[in-house]
Amino acid sequence: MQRFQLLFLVGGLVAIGLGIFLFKIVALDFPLTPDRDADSWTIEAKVSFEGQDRPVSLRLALPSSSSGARIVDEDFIASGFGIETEGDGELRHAVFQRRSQTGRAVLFYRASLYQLDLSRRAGSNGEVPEAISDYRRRDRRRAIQENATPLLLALDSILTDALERSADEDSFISQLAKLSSDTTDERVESLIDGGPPGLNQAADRMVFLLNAAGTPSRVVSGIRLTTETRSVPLERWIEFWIDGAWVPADPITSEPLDKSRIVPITYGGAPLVDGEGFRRLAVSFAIQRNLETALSRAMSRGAEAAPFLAAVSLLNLPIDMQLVFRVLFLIPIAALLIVLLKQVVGIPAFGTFMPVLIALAFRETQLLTGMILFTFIVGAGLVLRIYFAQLKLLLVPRLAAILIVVTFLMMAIALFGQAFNFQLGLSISLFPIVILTMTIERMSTVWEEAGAKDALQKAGGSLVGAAIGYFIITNDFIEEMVFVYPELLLIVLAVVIMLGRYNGYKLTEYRRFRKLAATAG
Amino acid sequence: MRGITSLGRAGVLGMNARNLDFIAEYNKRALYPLVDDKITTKELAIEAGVTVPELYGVIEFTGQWEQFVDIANKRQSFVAKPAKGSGGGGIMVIGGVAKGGLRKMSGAIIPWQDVRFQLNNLLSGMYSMGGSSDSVLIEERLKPHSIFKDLAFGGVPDVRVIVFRGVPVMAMLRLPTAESDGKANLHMGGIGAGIDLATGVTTRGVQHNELVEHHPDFETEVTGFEVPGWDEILELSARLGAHIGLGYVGVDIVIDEVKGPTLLELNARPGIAIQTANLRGLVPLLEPIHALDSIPDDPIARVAMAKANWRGQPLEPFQIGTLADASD
Repeated sequence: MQRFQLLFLVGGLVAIGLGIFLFKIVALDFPLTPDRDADSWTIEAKVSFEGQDRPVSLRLALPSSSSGARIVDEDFIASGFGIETEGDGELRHAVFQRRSQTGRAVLFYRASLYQLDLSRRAGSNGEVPEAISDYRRRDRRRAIQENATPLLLALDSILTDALERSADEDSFISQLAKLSSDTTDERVESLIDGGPPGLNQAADRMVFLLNAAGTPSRVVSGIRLTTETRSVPLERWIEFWIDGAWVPADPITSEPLDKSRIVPITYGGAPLVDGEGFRRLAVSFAIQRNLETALSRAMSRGAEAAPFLAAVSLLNLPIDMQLVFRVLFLIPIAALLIVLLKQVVGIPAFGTFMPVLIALAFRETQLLTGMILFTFIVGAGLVLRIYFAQLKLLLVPRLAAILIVVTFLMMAIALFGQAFNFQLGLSISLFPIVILTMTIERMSTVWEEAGAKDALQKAGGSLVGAAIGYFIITNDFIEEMVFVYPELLLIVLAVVIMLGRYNGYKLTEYRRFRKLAATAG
Repeated sequence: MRGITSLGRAGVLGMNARNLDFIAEYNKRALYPLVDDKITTKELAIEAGVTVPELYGVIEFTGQWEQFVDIANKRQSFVAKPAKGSGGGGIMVIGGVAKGGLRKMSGAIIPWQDVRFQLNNLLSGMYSMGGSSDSVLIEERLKPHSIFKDLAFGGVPDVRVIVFRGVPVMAMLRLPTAESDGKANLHMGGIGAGIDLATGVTTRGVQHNELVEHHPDFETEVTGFEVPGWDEILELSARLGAHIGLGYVGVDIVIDEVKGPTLLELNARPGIAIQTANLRGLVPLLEPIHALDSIPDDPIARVAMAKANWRGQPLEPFQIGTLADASD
């Protein structure tokens, strides 16, 4: 009876999973290898705020099509709010309005962008801008003669220096950037002290200098399309007018930026959000590469042929949620791996799912760094654990003490990394200290009770499991497959249930009982 | 599967099959506390008429320290162990009370302060299954039979019997060595000696999964040794295995100089290493018993059944009906 039930359950799961999967592929023409389209991105802005029981009017600056990227599709999710867009070209805003808002509200803006081929430089489209001032020539001279303030003297000196060291406009700008970025220079200091507010920012200072020199320029805020992430920072860079076109550039090096990789949102230091009737405002951006166009075609076809399937697709979720599920869906795969390693291979390891947790941590640190960090922290922790055992501490305080020491070890590694210019970045903070602590404690009890050999074997087994897990959860193909075809996870569930009734030998038992096997011939 | 792989042909019981086909099938989860708590086990064993080490007292709270000291002074020699401990962790074996502390069997003295700390550790559940707080059992220290003088180094040897449906199926003698630090634990370097279930004579010794002829510390032979009171051991195991209600259980027995075979503890998840010590797979021994409709109530009959099973003889004659006919 139990056996029949099991077969029924497993058969049902496989049939449903495989059925949906095949239906998508055969009937809806979903691509089997969903390549990502490198030229297409989705940007999502998430604005959250708290209402104050009075009318809300919120103006959000929107990204605009630039010469490098074109917005092809955009939409808003803001239930209960009236939405209008104003302006065009470079200056666009969405205005969200509501009679009264109490409590928290979240607004979404989503846009798809296509990166354009930039084989030719965009020509002058539109009027030629004017530099805000032209100190390069006689005005500056006259001003200095009339009113020799420290600011003007410093400005004059910097510009003269840059001019002397350069041969043409391009080299003038790069010389100017070099001078401007050196904040230890006295002249730069007097610029920051005496000039308009905000000159302590590299971008603003460079723009001020360029305008002073007669090259029209402006500060731009926007986002860079680099890697997919749930939270991209709003960055500032500069643009200057040269040869009849705006050239985006890094504010410190003045290196031109790849136009297809940036999405400008506001110019000249204009606010990203303004308006009234709200407080505790938070704005975040998420970016994601779009799935292949074949998939989106299949999706829209699916929406007609099988509305239910399209409705449950994860591709309808907001991007930041999608990115969460991309990781979340890898966990069943890693769990399957654990079951295989434990029940079929018989690899020794600490805890049941610890290798998966370590593998998830490795995802942030990269494998090699992760392995080194793990070995170092667990090793150091073990030594301390032996010391704490000598002090004869009770169990829970001892665990807490190890936890605190592990925190300090992390700090030491971060400082060490900083000093020697290792780019550990955030990765270290994501290394799960509680898991490390438990590993240290378990390993030391096993060490005491069963000896060093057992403890090292288990530690090695855990690391091997984590390494295999790492390759699975960082595999793009697997990630893409389970994300587009989550029904495949039903098959994973079926396999796990089947393995729950596996009563065959583990691979390691062939070694353990090799003497006995020999008697059978 | 069984016939295809080399392990299958040898009849080896793998970990997965042990868990699924025997432990999950025959051991009700609700009965686990009976064997996991050594105090309950002791009560059940007494009920079944099995010899156990005398219980001197139970310590439940740290506040009972004075009581502990009183017992120590009165008894001098005793064993203190966590009631829910596993794998022999946290056990204190005390040979006597000395000035300033307790004397271990090795002669080393544990200062009172350290004894108190260790007692607190045991009570906080450091060595206990599940890690919850525990109580500490103080009981009689068993003295191994003098025949083991040259076979057990610095500890107490014991006999592990696997009992299936109340029928002993396989046994081994576990001998402590210097390497295992006086513990009769196989994976810590103790010797496991397979026992011919029918005769009670050891057949081979295994240390670290390798065949050994002699005890490394005494150079005495570990094979051909006749375990004293073998039939008594088998009867004790058969009686207890059925009484406790667990279908698949490991019974650990110490042969005491005075009391004879005495129950040490029960194990609801006995290990599978016993197969290496006997160089024999468990499956061919378990399957005939699994196939039986009923098992005789009389432990003596079950012992006879166990011996026949070991020799590979059919078991049907031992079933209740036939047994009753035969006695008429």
